[in-house]
Amino acid sequence: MNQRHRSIEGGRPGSGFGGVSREQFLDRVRASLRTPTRGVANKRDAFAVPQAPEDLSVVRLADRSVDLVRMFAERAAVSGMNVHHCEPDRVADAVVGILSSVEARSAWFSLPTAECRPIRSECDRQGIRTLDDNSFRSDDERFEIDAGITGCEAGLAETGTLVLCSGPDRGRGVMIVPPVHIAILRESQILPDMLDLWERFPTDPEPGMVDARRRIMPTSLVMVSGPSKTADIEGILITGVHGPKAVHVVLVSGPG
Amino acid sequence: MSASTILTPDLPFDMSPRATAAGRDVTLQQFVNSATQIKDRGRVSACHAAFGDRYDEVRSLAGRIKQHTLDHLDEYLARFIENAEASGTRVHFAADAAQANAIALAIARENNCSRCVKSKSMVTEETGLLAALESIGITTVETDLGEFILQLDHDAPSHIVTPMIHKDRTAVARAFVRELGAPYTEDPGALTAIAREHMRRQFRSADLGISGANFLVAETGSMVICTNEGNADLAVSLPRVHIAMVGIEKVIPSIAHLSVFLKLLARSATAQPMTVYNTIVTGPRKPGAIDGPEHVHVILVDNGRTEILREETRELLRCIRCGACLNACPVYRKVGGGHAYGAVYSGPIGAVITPLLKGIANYPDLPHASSLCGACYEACPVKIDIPTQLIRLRRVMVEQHITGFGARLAYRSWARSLKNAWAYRASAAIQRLVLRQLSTGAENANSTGAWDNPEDNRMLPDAWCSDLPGPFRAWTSNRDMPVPARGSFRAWWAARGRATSGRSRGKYG
Repeated sequence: MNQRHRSIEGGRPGSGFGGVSREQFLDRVRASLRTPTRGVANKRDAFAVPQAPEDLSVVRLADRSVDLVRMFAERAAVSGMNVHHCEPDRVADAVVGILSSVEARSAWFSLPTAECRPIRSECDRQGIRTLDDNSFRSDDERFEIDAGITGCEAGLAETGTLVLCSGPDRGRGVMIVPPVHIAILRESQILPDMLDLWERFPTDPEPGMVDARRRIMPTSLVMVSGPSKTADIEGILITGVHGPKAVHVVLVSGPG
Repeated sequence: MSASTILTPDLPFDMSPRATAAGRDVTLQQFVNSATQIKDRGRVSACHAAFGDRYDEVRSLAGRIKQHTLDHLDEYLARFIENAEASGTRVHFAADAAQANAIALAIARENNCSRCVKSKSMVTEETGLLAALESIGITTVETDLGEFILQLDHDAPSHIVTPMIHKDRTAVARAFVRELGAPYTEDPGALTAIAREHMRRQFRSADLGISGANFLVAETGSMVICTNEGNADLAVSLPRVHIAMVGIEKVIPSIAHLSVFLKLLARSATAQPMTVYNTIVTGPRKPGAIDGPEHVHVILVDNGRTEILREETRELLRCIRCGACLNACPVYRKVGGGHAYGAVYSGPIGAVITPLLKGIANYPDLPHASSLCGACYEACPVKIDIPTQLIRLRRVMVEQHITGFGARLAYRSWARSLKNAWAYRASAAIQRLVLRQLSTGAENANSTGAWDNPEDNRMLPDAWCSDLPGPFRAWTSNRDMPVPARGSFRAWWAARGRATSGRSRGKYG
């Protein structure tokens, strides 16, 4: 059971942009739940919050008993991503090969410098212009780049999904603005199931709760399962609507 | 009809004209039937492929998680608010649609926004946000391809997930020629490319992004947005300001629980294992971040949901807006999709929540726009018992005298006839007599049909009522009714029992 200690709340005024105050809003909810309204009178409320259902194992679709790399590669391909297996020392060649195959003349890198350097050097040799998040003179310029190159936080074998998180050296635009997205994923990063993803993120004690922890999420976490798609026009499947028309996964073998 | 009159018609709303017109529109019938049946069958095969015979258990779990959250919604909302604010998101509280729009406008003004890109959100349709933004001079573009085309064509969505199932490519082509000055083409790929180019210009220059959210995670203060097109990602990560308008029922307890819903949502909606993009946003950009909005606002919307939150209708708020019930519903198909319901929320879920949100007296047809077949209940990933809720609404309509006197009298008589055996037998005998008198060819019908002949498995009547008078004309105008046999089955069974007394087992046991 989670217990909550709530300090005296008089009910802050509306957020300043209109609407009602938080307490007024929650009181509307409480009235329908027929719980007593919390007001100034209830000073020391520590009340139990019954637990939500905890056993989610019935939705698990993959575990470590399967060949995760093979499942990932198969399912990623089914959803329309191009999977390129490569050895750790051939990553630069693989990336440049993909860039050439899509006739990209410019590439936007959002990777740690050490990983970037060999790939950018190879691009320079091939005459492909390289940029990183600091190179842009204007926001507008980002829309002119032919390909975005990122790493990944993880891969999910159950659906052939890439997980990308924002961070100090990882932006959000790079994977969604250019028409081609190249994602470098190490085989060791592949998790069986989405259920296994969340424990990668740290927890903090939850403020205002006793004996409860909450997960701290990055600003943005995107799960990508294919190129951008729509079937709005007569149910016909089309790729590359707003997001990338093509997603290439460079799947790097080795312990990572 | 303009977009506004399609989904906000004069009230009380009479479904018949639109439904009848749709029933005669062969092309519309073809589009809606194929679109919905493909997705319904797809849902079944996708869910069975993934979960096998655990599918029912998974739905039960999802339903329990949602019900638990609703039962403690004040707690979970309070947690969401605290955790969202801790991450830098500003949370606002809108009791109704007018307040929701007013808050959004105030935020836009405060930040000097003038160009808005919007991703698909049912709640913003509900509040009419688009019109409100444009009324203060903020140009707003719907970025979801289907919604964009509808916006260009001054049309309204007819399905909560795939909004354009009532439109074909020629209509799209004409709209693009007219509104974008594009060359005429019917090729869907070329049409999409035209839309993509146009939309990229909007994304580049937008200073405000507006979205809904599929889920709000109480534990982390996050919002979750699921799309196939990636339009939401562009709309919420590029502009300086992001506003999410979200109904309170979207809250789920924790990020781990999100797994359950993400595994069900796309499979139930479009037979995909996942939507292409599942984006979990927690707060605005941090200091030193490369990109992302400076300000993130969540407007929590009530607008009648706290009424539905009352115990007897609470389960309706479990809805995750997957559209599975729309795809399963034979009535939805027959009436040509969402426009016939005259409201933002259509199909089976709409038939229940629209009267509750807008007033039962304003939408008296919707609770009756159902044969109670239960296909919606079987399709629903969170096991909302829509048929029971529809019956409850019908009862409320009788109690509140919204149902007319004649119908109420008929219900009362019917209920009386079912309450004791004598009344039942008498009323059944009268019905048999009357129907046989009113039908054609009844005198040729054999007296007890195939019951006389155990070899005959057809159990088909020999005569039909095709043209009943008075209120019953509404039934026979579209279908024939079989003529009842001269005697009752019970009488025949009892007589047979006497004739074969001593034998406990006959052909029919």
